[in-house]
Amino acid sequence: MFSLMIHKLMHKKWMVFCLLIGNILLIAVAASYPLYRVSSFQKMLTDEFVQYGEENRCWPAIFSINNSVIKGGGDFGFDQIEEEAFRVVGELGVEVKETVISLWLSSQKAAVFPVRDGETEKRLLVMAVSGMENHVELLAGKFPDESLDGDGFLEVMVSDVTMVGQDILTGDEYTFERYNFPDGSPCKVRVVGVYRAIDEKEPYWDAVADSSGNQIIASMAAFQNIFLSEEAKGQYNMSGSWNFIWDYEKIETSDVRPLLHTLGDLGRSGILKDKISEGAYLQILTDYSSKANRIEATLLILQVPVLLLLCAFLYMIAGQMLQMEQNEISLMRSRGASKKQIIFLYLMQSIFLGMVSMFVGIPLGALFCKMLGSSTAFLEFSAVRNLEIRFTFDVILYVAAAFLLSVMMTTVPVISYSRISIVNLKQKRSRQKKALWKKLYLDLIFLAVSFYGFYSFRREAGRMTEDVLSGQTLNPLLYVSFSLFILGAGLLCVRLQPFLLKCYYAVFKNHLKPSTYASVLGTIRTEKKQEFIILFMILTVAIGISNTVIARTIVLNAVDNTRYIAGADITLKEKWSSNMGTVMRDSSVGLTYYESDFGRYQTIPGVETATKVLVEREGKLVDGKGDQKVTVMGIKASGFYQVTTMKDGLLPYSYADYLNVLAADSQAVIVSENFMIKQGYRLGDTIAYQNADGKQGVGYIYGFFTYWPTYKPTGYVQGQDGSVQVVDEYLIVTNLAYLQDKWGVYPYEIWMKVNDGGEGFYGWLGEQHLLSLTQLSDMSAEENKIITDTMFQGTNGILSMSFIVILLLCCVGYLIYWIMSIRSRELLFGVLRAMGMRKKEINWLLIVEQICSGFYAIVAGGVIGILSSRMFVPMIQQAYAASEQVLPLSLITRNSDLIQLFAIIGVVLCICLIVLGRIISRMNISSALKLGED
Amino acid sequence: MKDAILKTVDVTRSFPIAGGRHFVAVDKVSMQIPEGCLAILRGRSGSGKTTLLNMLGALDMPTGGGIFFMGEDITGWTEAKRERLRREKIGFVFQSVSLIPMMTAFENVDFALRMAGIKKNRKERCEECLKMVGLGGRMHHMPQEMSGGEQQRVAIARAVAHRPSIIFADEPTAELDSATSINVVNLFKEMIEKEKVTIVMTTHDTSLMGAGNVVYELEDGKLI
Repeated sequence: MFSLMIHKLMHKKWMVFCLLIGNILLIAVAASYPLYRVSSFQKMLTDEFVQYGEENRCWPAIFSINNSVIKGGGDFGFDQIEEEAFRVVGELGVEVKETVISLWLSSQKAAVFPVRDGETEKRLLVMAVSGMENHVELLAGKFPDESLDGDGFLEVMVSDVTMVGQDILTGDEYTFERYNFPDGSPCKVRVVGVYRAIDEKEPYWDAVADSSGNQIIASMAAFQNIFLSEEAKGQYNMSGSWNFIWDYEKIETSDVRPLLHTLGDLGRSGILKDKISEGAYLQILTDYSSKANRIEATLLILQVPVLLLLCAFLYMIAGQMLQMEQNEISLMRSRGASKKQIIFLYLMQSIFLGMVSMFVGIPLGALFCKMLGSSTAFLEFSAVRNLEIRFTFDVILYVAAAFLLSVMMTTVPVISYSRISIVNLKQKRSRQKKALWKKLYLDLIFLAVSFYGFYSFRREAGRMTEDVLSGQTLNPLLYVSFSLFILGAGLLCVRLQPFLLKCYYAVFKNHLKPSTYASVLGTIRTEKKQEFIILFMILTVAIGISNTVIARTIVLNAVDNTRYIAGADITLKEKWSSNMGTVMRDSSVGLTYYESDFGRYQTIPGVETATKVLVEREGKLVDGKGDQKVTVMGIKASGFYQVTTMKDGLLPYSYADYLNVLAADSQAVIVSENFMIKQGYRLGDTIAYQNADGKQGVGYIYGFFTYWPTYKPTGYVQGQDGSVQVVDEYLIVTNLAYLQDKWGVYPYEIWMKVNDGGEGFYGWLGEQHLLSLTQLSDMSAEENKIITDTMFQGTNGILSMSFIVILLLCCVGYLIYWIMSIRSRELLFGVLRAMGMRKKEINWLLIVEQICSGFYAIVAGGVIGILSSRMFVPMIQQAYAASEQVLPLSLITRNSDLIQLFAIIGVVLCICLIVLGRIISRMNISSALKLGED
Repeated sequence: MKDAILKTVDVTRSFPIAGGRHFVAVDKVSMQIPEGCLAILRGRSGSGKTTLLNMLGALDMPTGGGIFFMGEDITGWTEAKRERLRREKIGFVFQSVSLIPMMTAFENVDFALRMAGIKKNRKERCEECLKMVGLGGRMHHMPQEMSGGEQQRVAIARAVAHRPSIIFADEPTAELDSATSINVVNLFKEMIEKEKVTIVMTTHDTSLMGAGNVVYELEDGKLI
């Protein structure tokens, strides 16, 4: 049986080649998804932790358990809690970098000896922290002993900060009034050392329990021996904190869901009830999880069309192969082979081909995954980013599913063929049935459903954004409508093709050249054979176009928006020195800032221009009505114009006009449109405002704007229950000089335009050791963040990959279709040649055929692609909406993209035509006609 | 005897085969086919009759000798000139089904007229030809809806439609039963009568011999 199968395959090399390509691509696409998901999600997860850490300047993953006992209280013992804590952490399974245990007695007054500056007592907190020896260096003295010293003192050390803040020196002795040692003797401590953290940025210091800066540190062993001994029970107000520093890089994406689940149940009951403090990691993991869900769903949906097309392709090729083997099958049947045996033969063949495909498909999938990870735009890849390929169980699962699917697709058609014996084969051939979808009008039904979807989604467009922002996935039915539209319109075009040709034929039939006549008539009469390949090409082009538009639109909109929100290439705010100290002591003194040198920014290499921008976010409107919060922005019109850009169409007048009117009158203000709509202001009105310190300003409204660099008309506030609320944001733009005149000098932002990508600036910044920035934002870094964002990158990658795969399929399918078609018509061409048709005319005949099918399909696909993008992309885009989306979303079609797309398709078609041309030119009339001796 | 429409002088056709040798399919055949006759080329399978016919019909070129069509040696002609000759002056009927499958009987005949560049009265001529072969009632049927004999008759109608000077028929009866075969031969004779055409046909069927005005017999590429 096996050798029969191999023999059979060897005779159908072309078909087998096609089946293999289909299978390999199916497996590769299926494998690439889990591969990409696991590696990009891993990166995303780690990035979330890193980002939190950087923003909050702390280690983002510390699992912490706290417990306190009060004097005389009957709580659980510390050792039981410690045991349970370790057990739970083990159960959670996250790798622990270090465990830090802090134990302390509540702060108490202690008598000081020797007395300095008349201070006889201090409030001090006796504490022990595990592992401290490894993280501090001694500035003076020694580490405390593990037992009481010879005089009955507990040895302690203090940090350099405490030393200065509390005025403690080594050798100082303190006797607590309220605390005794367990044996009843007064609790006395002696300071033996001063330490300093070796590196305050170590996560260790985030895991040490907070205290108010009056802690004195005893050795852990001594603390436990004395205060946790059997006889000490119930004598002290004592607290303990067990902090486990998690190595978040080791948290696998697959661990997140079970981890969240376990964490959710923890602390509800048992010893640890209410003792686990909610760490930052919980929010990070929850955020990641919902983000991952959203991305996962989106990326999966984006893959569906290509997977469906792959299945259809396999089904088509398998069907064609079967058609070629119809005679063999019916012969086998007539010779007594059972239906089962025939199905088994084909099943074996499918399994064999599937297995062979896996050897190529899985590595190809890994390659696809790399490709996904390096995509920067539609059909653009940069080798800079490299995703680490990780094979997980998921990959096996997806590949197995793809394998099963392929076996099914290639075996199912056999079932109907296996019933045929030679007798009903001949009967069947004489009939030509109308395709099922035509009879059922599936094309019109699909279109109707997609239109319904389109209109109902458009009605709810606003709500969809809110849904997405609150973490939900965009309704998958939207994608279904989108796909149905392309499919339905594609089928409709397939239905229309013979109709259009018939019209053409009816009008011109007496004026056509013989070759054109034969070609047009042939195409009309063999419509059914061509349906599939035409549909395939239409879908390729349509999907290609809509993929391009989706990819461009989402990324460019996000990038434009980021640029808008960033305002300028680089914006920063320095920390200025002020007379704050004096003001604190003497409230009659006004607060004065000492302006730093602005001039130096203009001399930084690579900085084209720099301008001052004062942004007062805590301003208020002075209108006697209430205290409407406003943002006041003070600018220097000319500098601002040089540094910022505004996209065309965002403002009713030119951007320059706005800045010109501002420059013309020092008290001119231009304000956001909502002042007019919500607050009733008109042009020329006077508007009064004040800053956070109550200093006022007055301006005359010279204009309204909807958009202004960095300005967000509305903000989203997330409520406790996760719902998203919309609030209005107001902005007043006026002259910096006027504000400085009225308010005095306040720290302003510096906005810069750079021409070297910021290289010069960062070089300069690295040398400024005394400069302290409270704010720094870099437009290109923000843009880069979008391009490498898993959601955007995955989308770009999958859309590009789908397109390449579909194009390949289309090319292979197109070639095989025409090769088969020409081979089967060799006799016909022979007859035509015998009747005196020239070779050129035969070629023309084929070209007309290509125009009727291929060219028609490309044009139809182009129209469908553009229509579907216009209709659906604005909605699909909302899946990528961010709460920062301010600018109106615009559909972006770049001509260069379309040209690239059609160039690729054109090249593919040309290759196909050259191959076909070669086949034709090799054809010999007499052998085609079988005119030679039999 | 009337003038010969077709004359061959020592026509030879050899094919290169393995070992640098040549297989001679047609060997120095000289013959004359008079205008308005039914000429029969007889011979067993492999006797070279189809090769000869292909050369006569300007489908293939001899490797030696000359072929004179209406007094002109066509052996030196360009491909384009021979194509034109085939389109306008020659009609073909082949052994197996040679109709264009996606055209009706009418369209098949019409197509030959289009090929010959005839623009006027095509419809009338098609109908006339199809009626002549007795298929006036089945003009708009597709080839696959007809029997083998009917298809061959359409092929004959197509071959004659553009009023060629000569028609070549390669084993036109090979796939037909004997009664139908005789019908086809009778049809040929009728055509010669009505259309003033010359017909050259090959056959291996000895029973049809008597119908021919001229009979040549081939064996191993030589006339006997």
